[in-house]
Amino acid sequence: MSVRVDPSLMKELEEFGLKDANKCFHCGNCTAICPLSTPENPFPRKLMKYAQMGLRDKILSSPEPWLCYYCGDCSDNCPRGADPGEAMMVMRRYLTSLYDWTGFSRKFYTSEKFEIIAITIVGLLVGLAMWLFHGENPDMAHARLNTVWPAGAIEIADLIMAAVLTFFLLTNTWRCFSFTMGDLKAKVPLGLYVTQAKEFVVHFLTQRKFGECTDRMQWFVHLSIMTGYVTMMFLVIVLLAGGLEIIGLAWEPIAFQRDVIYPLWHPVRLLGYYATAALLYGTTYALIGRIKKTKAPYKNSHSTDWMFLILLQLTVLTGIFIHFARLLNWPMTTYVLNVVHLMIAVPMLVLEVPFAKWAHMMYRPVVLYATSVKEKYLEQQR
Amino acid sequence: MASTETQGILVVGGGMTGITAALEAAEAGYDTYIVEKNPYLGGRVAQLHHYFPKLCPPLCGLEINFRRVRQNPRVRFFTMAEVENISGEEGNFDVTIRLNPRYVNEKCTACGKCAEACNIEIENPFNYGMNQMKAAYLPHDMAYPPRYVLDASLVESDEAQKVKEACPYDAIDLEMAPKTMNLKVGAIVYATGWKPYDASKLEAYGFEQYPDVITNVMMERMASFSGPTQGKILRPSNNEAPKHVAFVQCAGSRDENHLPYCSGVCCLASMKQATYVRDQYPDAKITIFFIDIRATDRLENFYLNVKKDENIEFFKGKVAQINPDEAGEGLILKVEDTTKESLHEIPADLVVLATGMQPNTLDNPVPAQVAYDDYGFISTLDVTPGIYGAGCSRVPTNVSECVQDGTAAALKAIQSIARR
Amino acid sequence: MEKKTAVYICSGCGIGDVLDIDQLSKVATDENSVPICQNHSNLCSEEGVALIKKDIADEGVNTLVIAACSPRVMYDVFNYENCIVDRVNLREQVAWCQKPGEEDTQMMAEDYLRMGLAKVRGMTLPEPFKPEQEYSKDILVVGGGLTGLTSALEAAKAGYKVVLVEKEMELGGFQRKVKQIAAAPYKDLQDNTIDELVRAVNEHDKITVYTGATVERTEGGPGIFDVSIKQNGSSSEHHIGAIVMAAGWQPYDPTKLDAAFGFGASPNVITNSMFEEHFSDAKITRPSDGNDVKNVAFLQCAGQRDPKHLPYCSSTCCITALKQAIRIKTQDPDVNAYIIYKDLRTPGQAEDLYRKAQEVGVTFIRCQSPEVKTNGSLTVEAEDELLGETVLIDNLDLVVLATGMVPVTSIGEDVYAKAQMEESKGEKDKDELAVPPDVIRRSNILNLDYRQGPELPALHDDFPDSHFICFPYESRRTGVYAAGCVRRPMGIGNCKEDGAGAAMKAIQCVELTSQGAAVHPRAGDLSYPEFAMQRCTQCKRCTVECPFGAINEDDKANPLPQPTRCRRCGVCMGACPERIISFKNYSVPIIGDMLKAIEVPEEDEEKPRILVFACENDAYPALDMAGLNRMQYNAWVRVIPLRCLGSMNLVWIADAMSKGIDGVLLLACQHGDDYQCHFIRGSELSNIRLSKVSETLDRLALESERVRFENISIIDYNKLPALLDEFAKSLEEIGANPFKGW
Repeated sequence: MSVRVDPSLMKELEEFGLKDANKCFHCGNCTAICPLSTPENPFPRKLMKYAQMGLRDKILSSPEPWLCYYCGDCSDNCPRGADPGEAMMVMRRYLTSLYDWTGFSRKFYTSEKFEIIAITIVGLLVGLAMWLFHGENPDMAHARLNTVWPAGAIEIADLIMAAVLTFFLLTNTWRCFSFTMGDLKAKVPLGLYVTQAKEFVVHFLTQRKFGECTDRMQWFVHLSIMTGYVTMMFLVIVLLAGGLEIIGLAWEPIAFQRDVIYPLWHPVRLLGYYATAALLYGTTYALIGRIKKTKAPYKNSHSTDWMFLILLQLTVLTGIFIHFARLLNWPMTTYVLNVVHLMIAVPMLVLEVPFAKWAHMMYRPVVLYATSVKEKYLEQQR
Repeated sequence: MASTETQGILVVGGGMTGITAALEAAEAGYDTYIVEKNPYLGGRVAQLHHYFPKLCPPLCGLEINFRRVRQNPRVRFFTMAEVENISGEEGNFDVTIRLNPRYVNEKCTACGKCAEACNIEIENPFNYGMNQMKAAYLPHDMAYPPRYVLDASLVESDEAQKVKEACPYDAIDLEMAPKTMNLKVGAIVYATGWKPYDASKLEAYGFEQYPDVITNVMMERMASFSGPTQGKILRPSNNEAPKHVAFVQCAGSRDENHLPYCSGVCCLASMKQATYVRDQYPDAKITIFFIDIRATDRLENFYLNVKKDENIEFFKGKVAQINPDEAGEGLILKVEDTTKESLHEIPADLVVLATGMQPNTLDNPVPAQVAYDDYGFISTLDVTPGIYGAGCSRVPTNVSECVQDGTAAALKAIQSIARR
Repeated sequence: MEKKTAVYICSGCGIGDVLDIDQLSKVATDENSVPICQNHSNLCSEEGVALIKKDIADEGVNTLVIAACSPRVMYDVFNYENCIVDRVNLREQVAWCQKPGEEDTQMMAEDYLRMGLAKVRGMTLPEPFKPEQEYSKDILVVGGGLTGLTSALEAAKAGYKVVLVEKEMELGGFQRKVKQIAAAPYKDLQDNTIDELVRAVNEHDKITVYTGATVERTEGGPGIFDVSIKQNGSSSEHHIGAIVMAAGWQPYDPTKLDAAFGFGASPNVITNSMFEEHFSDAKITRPSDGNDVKNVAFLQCAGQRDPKHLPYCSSTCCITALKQAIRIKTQDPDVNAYIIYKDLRTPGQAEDLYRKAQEVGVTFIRCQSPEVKTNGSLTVEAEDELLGETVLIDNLDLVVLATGMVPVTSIGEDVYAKAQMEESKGEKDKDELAVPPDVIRRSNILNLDYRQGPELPALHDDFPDSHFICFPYESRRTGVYAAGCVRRPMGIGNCKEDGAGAAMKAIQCVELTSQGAAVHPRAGDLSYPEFAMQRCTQCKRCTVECPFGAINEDDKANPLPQPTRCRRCGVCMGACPERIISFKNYSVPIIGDMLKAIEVPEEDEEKPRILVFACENDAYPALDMAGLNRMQYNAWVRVIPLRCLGSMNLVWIADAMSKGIDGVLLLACQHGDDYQCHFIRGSELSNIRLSKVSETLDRLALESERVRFENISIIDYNKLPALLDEFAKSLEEIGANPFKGW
């Protein structure tokens, strides 16, 4: 069996942000220094080779890009400046675009112009919609958001959005799962899939593997952003919908962002504060890191990295401003800020979650899950 | 060639390159001066046990060269000397040389009475600090000039007078102070050589942290009878015979975080050192971890011969980390076999780091206008005509090419004089 | 010169504590009636030296025996002009290695003094050799490529006249065809400046250039070479001092390559040197149709590092491939360039060029045996070691094979092999010494008029390289220095240095030779071998065995020594069964007298005697270092240093045995492939001669174990005491030499 060398892949990967991978001379230092690389799944050098040789199929079925949390040890210690950590990051972008059957992801990643236009359009559409569809009697004396945008309407929009996003995310995730499992997908008995399911949950929630990296700070920052974001999603998707009032499962006392101001120790308010603080901390740390290029993972920033962090931080900041405007009872300020807030938050959600960086929240645990299923299966076969 | 008889050539550095440059010019009839920082001539070569690929002792060639120096009145040399200043121009340089005190004058016969009387011990720099020696010492068995040196710590101590009195020939001068002298020369050959890259900068390798991690230059001393172990290769942690010796190539070399260039000799040096281990321990296992084996020209033949040895394994992969094993006795090397895409943890009980060469001009630059390359090597000759870089001051390379370079530099220096 | 001998005994450095100096003095005064014998407690001091100088000035002393430290130290202190001096090593080799106050130690010192006195008795001051012809200081450079041009220009710049001979019609050699070069600092490609070098050589008034010319014949020796140069059918004669041989290389014949490289099967498969020639001024295109190239592969080690073709590495091909690939990428960044290599070899700062090639996007594949497929699209199939799979690179427009360098000295028939063939037709003389053969091919470079062959002997793979790491210019022909790629495959930076270095050696050779002095390794030695021709039996041993081919032969097989070619090792002296060859200060009788001066006690005294012949460069210093480390060794030994063990004449062994000496030990340098002998064959020849000694011993009815040969290197001093003791013990088992007291 021989494989055809395809030099065009390197050029293609350059569009995803690949810069220095051709400098790799395959000493193997990166793979041996990586705390996550294992005898079963050694990386990142292997992926550097696949890239140099243009082996698309091998990359598509490789779980390794998702096993890497980009602590940067490999890049810091690379004798050649080939930046294998960044190459793995590029692989994740590339894989995300391959998993996405719509082709949107590829455009988003490979064209900065497209990325900005897409976000701007979605943002403007949200703004337009909010301007067009608002309540009849906005309360201009008190900052009461529901008088401008009634909870019910928001909930409907929210759920539609959630459904669409979930559809795209899940279909893409399924492709991710299929590529990773390869031929084994059908061979593995269902029982094994079920028993290994805990792996998915564990990796999703704790990012245990990341914790094994030398630079634990990165894990902490990443975990902050992740838990902050998941908390926020929970608040928004589940509680904003008033505990799913629309299907009759409303529970007012814990609904999110209604025109009631919960007492300081109310769990919803606490969760909101946690999410805000975690996100603010995480994004600020990462942004400063990327501006100052403090460590390897921050040295090469793709436009989508910037966009993601900026949107996230702006979402948080506008959220904070709304919160204070409400507390101070500045109605107009609150309403304007809310429009701005959603013009930022929604595009991020719509575009990033199924098609771009946020999708890794899904892909990573899925691949880890698939890998553990595969390993378990192969172990049983022996 | 009008004034060739009156103008000399200064050679800075009395290692193999410098000795060669001075001798080649002197034997062609030119006056030469060698200025050497150490108390002896011979430089790094004197510290080597064998050369590759012949596995012959460097002292043999040094003996010939020392004889050439002894017999040729045109060669004069100053040890424990450094060039402080260079002024003037090609054909007419004024050089200031600082002579550091040896505390022993030319009456010394190397009888060794001072060392007998001395109780103070210091680290032995010739053996890279691996053992202690008397503070009144002959730098090594074939030290040339064969004359003792008193360490400053001894001179300042209470013992100094006792040691002085032990000398039957009035050769000890405790009052000796640094002095400077001036030389007029027509050309200068700069051959101050190299130093091994500081292995403690290679954090992942634990040099200085784990005693059984040593460097290639230390291995040379260990294999030498005049070294710290009388030529026995032993694990520094427990003085026992090693069973598995690992040679880590490119320890800092070809590495942008350390030395981006290749020192050109380490592959062959490690293979040579593998033969030392094999000679002493026929059952020992040896692994040489490499990126590329750079055995150019007929050195390839040496590589082939070493490769034939079943106990020597060539392992394609750069060692990323060295950690102690669980028992805390041996070492574990983490490395990828890049030919098999497999990750390994390989045990070894003695690890030799193949550290590369750095030019000494980094620490002691030429006190004149000279161009250096990105790595501190003297790069071009045309900045100050008449000053010529040679040997490892110019290129990290092996002894043979250093001698070649020293010979070429001698001719350049002669031209600087002949042109006048 | 009438000798007036004086003996000076130093009692310093512990000598006086170990020996009875008065007793020792009696050896000089009483036994040998030396008129002056002085003792001093610190002979090397100003006072001690003044004592000696006074005797030289006032008493007319001109022959001195200094019994003090090793001759390797205090050389300048005990060196007196126009005096014969011998140093008796009482310090390192007696006082520091023997038990103090013992009779045996005293006897050892006394013997050494006797030997020293015997030696100076036989020695005379050497007089420099003066040939009939005038000495020439002109330098001949053969080869007008980069190395030769550099060599010629550098020698001329130093003020020497140079004759440059190039066989092509134009100067510049291979480099003339090269567009860009890769050289320090290796950050990028550089323009080739060979034209400037050619111009500088052509314009230099000290350089005479012959192009389209060859060296027809080289006669004589250093300082007095007569060289005839043939150009356009006519000959020019030049009187030459020394020669730089920079004849260069040729690319390995690609048609000999394995079929897997595809050479000849497609016009688009070319070699690296063809690449330079084809595209020296032009754009790089597909050879078959001149179209643009889109995919180019470079296959390294085509027939190199391969025992079937060239076993060595040509050192430069990796850098050349990088250079050519970078050039292609510069021409068109969209071209895919692949380098398929075994090990990428860019030592030193050349690593930067590798980095540069990676930066411009050259793809590297590590593979030990790539295969070129020429049916259909041009494809390379390579087992990629770093992928663990075979990869296919197809649609190639150009495949460049890195064929290696072959030295010009490898062309032509092997002169020795031919001689062997002829000899085997004739009668075989089984007693002939088996002198190891040299590879010398009739390559028509120098056409030396030397008995041993017309060119420089090769070392490995037909390269006339030096074997010595410390002395890379040491060729086997005095005054002829190989340089550049004919010597060893090397890149342009090294070629330039090598050219300059060889020019330096040539200059040094003409300067030393013109003073009648030897060149390396006995630089400055004024002695040379003299032949008592009337006793010659035309046995040819000297002419055959001289490691440097210094001795020619006339029609009647009489040796014709050429002293300026001589390195003064004395191998001829050791070889001569008639003992007709002598140096003024080193001869068969001198050493014979020394060993005869040893007092051999009667058998019943149970004091055996062991004679040690030690190489003065290695074994002798090793003995000194044993002393320096105060290692004790056997008291029966008596050491005689030899210039080279190759100068050992078998008669000495016979003399020693008939004298009653119990054993003879030869401490020689390592021989064989990794020989350490600085006279190349000396150690080996002494070993071969020794294999014939049993004959002598048989004649004397003695055991052959009494004579032993050991390889000792300079750092083996820790092994010496045990070795000497063990030999003494084995002699004890054999029993005393029955010739004692005869």
